[in-house]
Amino acid sequence: MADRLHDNALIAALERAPSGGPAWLDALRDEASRTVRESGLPGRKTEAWRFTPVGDLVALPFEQAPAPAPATTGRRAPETAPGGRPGDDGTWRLRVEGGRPRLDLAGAAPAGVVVRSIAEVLAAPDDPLAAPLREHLGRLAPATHFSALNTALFEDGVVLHLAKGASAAAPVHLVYAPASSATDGPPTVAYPRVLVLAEQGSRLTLVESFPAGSASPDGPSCGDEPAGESAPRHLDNLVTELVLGPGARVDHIRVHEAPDFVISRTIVREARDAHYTSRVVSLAGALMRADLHVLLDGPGAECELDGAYVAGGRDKLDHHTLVEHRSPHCTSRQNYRGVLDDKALGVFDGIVIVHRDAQKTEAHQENRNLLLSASATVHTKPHLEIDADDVICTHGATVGSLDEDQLFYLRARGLDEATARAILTYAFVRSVVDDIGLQPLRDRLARALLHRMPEGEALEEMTA
Amino acid sequence: MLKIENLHASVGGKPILKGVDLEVNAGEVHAVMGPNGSGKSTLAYVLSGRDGYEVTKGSVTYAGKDLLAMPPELRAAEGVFLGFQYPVAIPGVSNVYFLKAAVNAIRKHRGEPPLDAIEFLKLVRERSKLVELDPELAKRQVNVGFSGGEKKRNEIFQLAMLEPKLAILDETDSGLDIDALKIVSKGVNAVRGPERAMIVITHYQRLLDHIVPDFVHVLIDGRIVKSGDRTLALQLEEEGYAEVRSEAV
Ligand SMILES: Nc1ncnc2c1ncn2[C@@H]1O[C@H](COP(=O)(O)OP(=O)(O)OP(=O)(O)O)[C@@H](O)[C@H]1O
Ligand SMILES: [Mg+2]
Repeated sequence: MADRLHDNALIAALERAPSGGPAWLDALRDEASRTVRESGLPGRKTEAWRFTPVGDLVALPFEQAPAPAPATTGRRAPETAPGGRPGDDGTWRLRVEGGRPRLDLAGAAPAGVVVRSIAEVLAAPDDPLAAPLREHLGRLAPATHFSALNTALFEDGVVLHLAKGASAAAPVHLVYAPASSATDGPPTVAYPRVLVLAEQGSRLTLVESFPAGSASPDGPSCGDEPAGESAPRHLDNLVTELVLGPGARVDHIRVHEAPDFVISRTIVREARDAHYTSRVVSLAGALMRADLHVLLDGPGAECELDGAYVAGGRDKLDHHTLVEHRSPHCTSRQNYRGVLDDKALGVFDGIVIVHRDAQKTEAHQENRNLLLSASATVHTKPHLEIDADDVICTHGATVGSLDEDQLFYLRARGLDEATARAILTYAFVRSVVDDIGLQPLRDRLARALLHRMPEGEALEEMTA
Repeated sequence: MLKIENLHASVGGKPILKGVDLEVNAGEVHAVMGPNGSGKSTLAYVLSGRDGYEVTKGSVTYAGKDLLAMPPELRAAEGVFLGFQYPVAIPGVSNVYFLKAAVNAIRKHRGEPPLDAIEFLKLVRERSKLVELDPELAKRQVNVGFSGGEKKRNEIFQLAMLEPKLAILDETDSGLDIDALKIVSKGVNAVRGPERAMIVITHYQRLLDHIVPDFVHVLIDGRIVKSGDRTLALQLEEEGYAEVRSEAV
C-alpha cells in the first residue's frame, strides 16, 4: 500500500506537469510537486485521512481529461447554450468540463462580477486580474496531498472578481462535469481550480455542483437514479480559494450528487467584518471528500458552515472542516447533519483552533447523525484547540436512530411506517436546505433531498 | 363499536393491565378515571398499537375486526384517534404538512380522492377556528415551542381535522386553564355524534361538566373496579379512590 501511495497514475502525471507559465506559477507548481512526491497520497496512517479509503482510487490508471473542442462556430445564444443557460434554479450557470470553464458556451456573466478563465488571464501578463491572481492563487494555505496535485497539474480554472462594493446580480453556478469526450476510454481525472476575489463590501452567491448525470450537458435533473452499478471512473480534484475583503459577504453552496470520485479543498480567508456562509449538500459519491478551511483573519469576521449528507448504497461521504480563529471578536458556527443507510460511510471531522490573540471568540460546532442501517458507519470527530482564555466555545456530536415517540405519534395519525420514517429523516437534515435564500434553488435542493429519502416520492406526492 | 375482553398487557415485562373489560357503543362517551400509575395511558397505548406494549391475554374487537392485529396507522385509518397525554414535539415537520399527509393517507384508505391544497387549507381554517387555535400555530413545526395548553389544543385541532370514529383522549384537560378547558370541550362536543364514540381519560370531574359522559369507569391496578353513570365521578371527587379501592378488595 505504501508503494501504491507513491507510485500511481496520479503521481506519475507530475512528470508531465504544465510549465512555462509565469515564473511565480512555475515555482508554485515545483514546490507542490515536491511536496506530494515526498508525502505520497494520504493513506490510513495519515491522521486526517484515516477514515477516507483512497485505495480504490489510487489503483485506477487515471488520465487527465483532454481539452474539450472549443465551440468554434461562435457563441450560441444564452437561451440554448448548455453551458451558461440561465438555469431554472435562478442561477447563472457556467459549465466546467474536465477542469476547463466553457465560457464559449455561456452567456454574459451577471452584472457586478467578472468571470474569467485562469488560463486566459495567465496568458495575458497585462490583464487587470494578472496581479491579484499572482498575489492570491495558492497562497492562502500550504498545498498538501491532493490539493498539491491540483496546484502542480491544473491547466485552467475560473477567477471571479467582485470590485469594491459590487454585488453580483445573480448567483454564479459552476457545474463540474467530465469533458464530454470522456464517456468511454480510461478513467479520467480533472483538476478544476477556482479563485474568488471579493473585495471590500462586495456580495456574491456562489454555487458549485457536481451533478448526478454529469455526462449530460443539461446538468442535474431532479429524481435522477444513481448511475447504476457501473464502477466510478472519473475523479474531480478541485481546489477553490476565496479571499473576502473587509465587510464582504459570500454565500457558498456546494452540491454533491455525482456518483464518482470527488475530492475538494476549499480555503477561505476573511478580512475584518467579512461574512462567509457555506452550505454543503452531499447526496452521493463513491468517494466524496470535502475539506473546508476557514481563516478568520480580521476582527468581527464570521462564518457559518452547515452541511447535510445523505449516504446510501456504498457511498462514502467525508466532510472535514478546519476553522482558525486568528483575530479577536470572530464568530464561527458549524452544524453538520448526516443520514446513513445501507453500507454507507459518513465522516465528519471538524477542528476549531482558537489562536492565542483571538480573545472574545465565539465558536460552536455540532454534528448529528442518524444511522438507518446496522451496516452503515459513521465517524464523527469534533475537536477544539483553544489557546485564548476569554472565549465561548461549544461542540458536540451525536449518533442515533429515529425517535420512537415521534415515530409513533405520526403513525397514530395514519402515516404508514415507511412514510413516517421518511418524514422524520427528512426533517432531520432539511434545515441546511431551508436556510438557502434563493427560492428556486432551495426548492430544487429540497426536492433532491426528498428524493434521497426512502419513500421520498410518495412523500412529495402526499404533501404537494 | 369497541369490545375489550379480559385484556392483559405488560410493559418491559411488567404486567400493567390485569384483565380489563369494557364495551363502548357508537354515540357513547365513556370516562376512565383512576389514580396515577393505574394503567390508563397504558390502556390508551395498547388500543392505538404502540410498540413495546405487549398484550399477553384477552382481545379487543373494533367494528367487528381484531384491533390488536392492526398496525397503528391502520387503526388510525379505520377511525381510531389517540389524543396524547404528552404530545411530542417534532422539529422540522410543520403541523399542516404532516396533517395533510395524515388526512390524505386516511382518505386513501377510505377510497376517497386526496384533498387538494385549497380544500385542505379551507378545512384547516374552519377547524382551527373551532378550537380557537391561532392559525399561525397550525403552520408551525409540530408542537415545537408550544405551551402545555397549546399542545392540548393542537391535539383537539387534529381530532377535528381527522374526524375519527373512536377518540381516546388521554388527559386532554390537564394543563388547561378554565377558558381553554371550555374551548377544548366545545371542540370535542362538536365532533360528538351518533356514529362516534369517545373514551375520555381524566383526573378531574371538572372536564365532565363540559363533556358529559354516559358512563364512568374506575381503573385501579390494571382493572376496572367500578363502573357507573356520571354521578360516580362526583362521588370520586368527594371521597377519592380509597372507598372504591376498599370496595374492590
Ligand atoms: N415504558 C415503561 N417501562 C416500565 N414501566 C412503565 C412504562 N410505561 C409505564 N410504566 C408503568 O406502568 C404503570 C402504568 O402507567 P400509566 O402511564 O399507564 O399510568 P396512568 O394511569 O396513565 O398514570 P397517570 O395518571 O400518572 O397518567 C406505571 O407504574 C408506570 O410506571
Ligand atoms: Mg397517563
